[in-house]
Amino acid sequence: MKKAVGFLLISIFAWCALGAEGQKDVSAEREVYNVKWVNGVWGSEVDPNEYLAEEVAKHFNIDLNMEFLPQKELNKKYSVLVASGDLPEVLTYIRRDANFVNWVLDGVFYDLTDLFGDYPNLVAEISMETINISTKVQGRIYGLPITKENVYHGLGIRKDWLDHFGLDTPETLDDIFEYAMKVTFEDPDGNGQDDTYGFGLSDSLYTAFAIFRPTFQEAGVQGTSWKVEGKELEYNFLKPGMTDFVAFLRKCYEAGLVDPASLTVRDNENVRSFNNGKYGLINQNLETFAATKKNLIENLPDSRPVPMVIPPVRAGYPLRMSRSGGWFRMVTMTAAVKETDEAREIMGLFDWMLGDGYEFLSFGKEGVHWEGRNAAGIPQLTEAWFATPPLGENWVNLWLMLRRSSPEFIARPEVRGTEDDVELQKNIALVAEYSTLSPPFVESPIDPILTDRRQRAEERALTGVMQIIIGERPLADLKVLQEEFWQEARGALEAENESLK
Amino acid sequence: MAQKLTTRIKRYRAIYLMALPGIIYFILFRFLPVWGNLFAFVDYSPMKGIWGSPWVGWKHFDRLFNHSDLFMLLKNTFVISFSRILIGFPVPILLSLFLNDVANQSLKKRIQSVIYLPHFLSWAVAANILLIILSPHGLLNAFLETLGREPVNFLIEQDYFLFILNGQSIWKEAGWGTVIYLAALSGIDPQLYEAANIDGASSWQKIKYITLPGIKGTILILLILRIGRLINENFEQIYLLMNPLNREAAEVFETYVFRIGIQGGEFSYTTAVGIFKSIVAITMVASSNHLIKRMGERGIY
Repeated sequence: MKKAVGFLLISIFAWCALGAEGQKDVSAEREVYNVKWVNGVWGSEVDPNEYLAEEVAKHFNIDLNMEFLPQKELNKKYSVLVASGDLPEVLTYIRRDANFVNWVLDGVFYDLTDLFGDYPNLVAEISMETINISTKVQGRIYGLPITKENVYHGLGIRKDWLDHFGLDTPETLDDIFEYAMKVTFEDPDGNGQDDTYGFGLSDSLYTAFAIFRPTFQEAGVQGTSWKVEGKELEYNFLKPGMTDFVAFLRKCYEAGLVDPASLTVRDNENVRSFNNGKYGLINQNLETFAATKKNLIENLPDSRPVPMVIPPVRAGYPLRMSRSGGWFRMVTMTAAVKETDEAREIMGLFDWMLGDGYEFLSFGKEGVHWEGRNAAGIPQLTEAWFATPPLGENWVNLWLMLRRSSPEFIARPEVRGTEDDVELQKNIALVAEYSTLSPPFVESPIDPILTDRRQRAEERALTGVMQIIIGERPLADLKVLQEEFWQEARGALEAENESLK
Repeated sequence: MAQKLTTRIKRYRAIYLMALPGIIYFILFRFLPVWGNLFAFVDYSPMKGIWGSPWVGWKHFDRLFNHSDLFMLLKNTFVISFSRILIGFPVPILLSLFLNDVANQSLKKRIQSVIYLPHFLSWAVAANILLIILSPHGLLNAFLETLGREPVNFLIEQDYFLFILNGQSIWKEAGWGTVIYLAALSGIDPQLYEAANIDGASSWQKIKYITLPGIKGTILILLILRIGRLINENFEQIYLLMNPLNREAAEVFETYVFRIGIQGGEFSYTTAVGIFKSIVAITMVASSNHLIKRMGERGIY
């Protein structure tokens, strides 16, 4: 008996030892790559590592570590990362700018040209046309562009206030003006204080005019960025539609509909003021508006924020609210990736995320975030999904843009909201005229001295525009500003134009 | 000589030991980074390192001296700096003289506690307090409205920027600035005041002939040190108060370096800006030190 027990024990130990040895052999064959992926996010972010890293490890030899930095700090942080040489393996880069091109030339980014064609989902979902104008430098590919084709920009408006004033949903800028007047001067929150405004601007020249920017897109005004028209770069500030844009905002400011305090506060304060029930309008894309709406209702349960179609600048003008490339980011691999095998593994990860992994990214983990499917095969979300989106809101939102939008996909599941919301979003989508592919905004990738001159001219011009809006300069000065801008920046503009051809 | 130094170190080892952390600090954070100035003479490429980056000589300095903003930066830096000396520097002295004359010790301590307090707040908190006071919906505008005046958006007006900046600095730092002067005042021989009392000197005469001469050396040394810091104006404070509409009056070298160097990733160019700034600062310190020595006072070296 003792012999038998002894034999059994020896056998068990031997089996365990062999098993361990066997496991060791397997892991020794599979080199696991530590991949740090740095992203920028607005606001707080749920750490997706718990679910995502676990899922990724099932499919790839990758130990994935997602890191999130505040979007506003991203330029600074990336500069420091690059300067220190402490590069993560993957960076979600903001846009094609002078830094990007210079860093490509310095060898900061991994050349994806020879790899790209091997990944069918990437090839299928990412347009080569977009790559050509965004992430290619000297004919080589250095990033996977993320362009959002279905950005349903709208205005968020207080339906409860519209009802209170007996107004219909605004359809023209004059309607907007009338509504904003009532919000500002007729105390819609009934607190007896003069503390509500039509809307706010911002202390940033580049986002100050965002509230009505989509309205003026059809007039050619899209903020300060370049836009490729045909083969020429055109500068929006110089377009005639800018006059309409500035005149309308000036009229609103003169009438007291713009919160003057908004001119000295940082970004997102407008959203906070809307959430606190102090502004009548907010401009957001409809996905972001869903979060705003949720917050406002939490603060003020009787409020009824709804998205609305942005009125055209003039009757009969088409709206181009949805622009491919209106949102632009790019996923880049850096020089921290030394081996081709590692690069292929990471490209495989990107490919999976747009293919088999896409459902996981959208809906989370089966049994936790969703259970069962409806007749159309769409996973049915559980309460857990709504309580805490499994992979973080911002990042997943960003990533999902990489896939070309399908007609079925209006917004992330939580944003779809009620049937009414879905209907409304569809209506907004229908009135918009979609251009097939307009490229992402580009910044000058050329000599920084020229860029300096152009940026300086741009800052002066935009400061002047702000001064016109707040009444410190006459409206007629816009023409002067446009001329001064052209004189000051002409050389730089022409050189930039040439360099991008 | 070497032996003498060793002997001295042995004899005063406790003192040398105490100085050691300071010496290490200066070596690590003040002397070694001087090599970083080489960035200004290369087109720094992070992947090639400083030695692998191409040498470009004075290119970045040329760019700075031909930049359309250079005049604005110099003007703003000097205007802000000198206004701080003219307005901000005398306030702690006046406050100290006032506190020195407060006979009630309990009251004096209370006043000191109150005026020291803002020093311990961060500039971000100070900026928010200012926002509460000066914004279009702020306390000052509420007061103006009660007087029937139109509200003013103080924070976007270039004309108000200098006053706001200096006012905020005085509120935050003047109290704390009295500490050194009060210490210097306590070192003045009380017999001088007694003699002055016997001679029938007025309060003003005592200040003029005893107090001010008694702390003159301290004032001058602090002035030189202040001049040395002139061009390193408080970045945080200005950055938090700056917005597109007052930028023409607010942008100084520090904020410019931050915007272009850190945010724009142009390390070589902004190192050149930093070197230029340092040369101006050294020139100012040396000149003021020389001037003060010619006035018969002791300089800082």
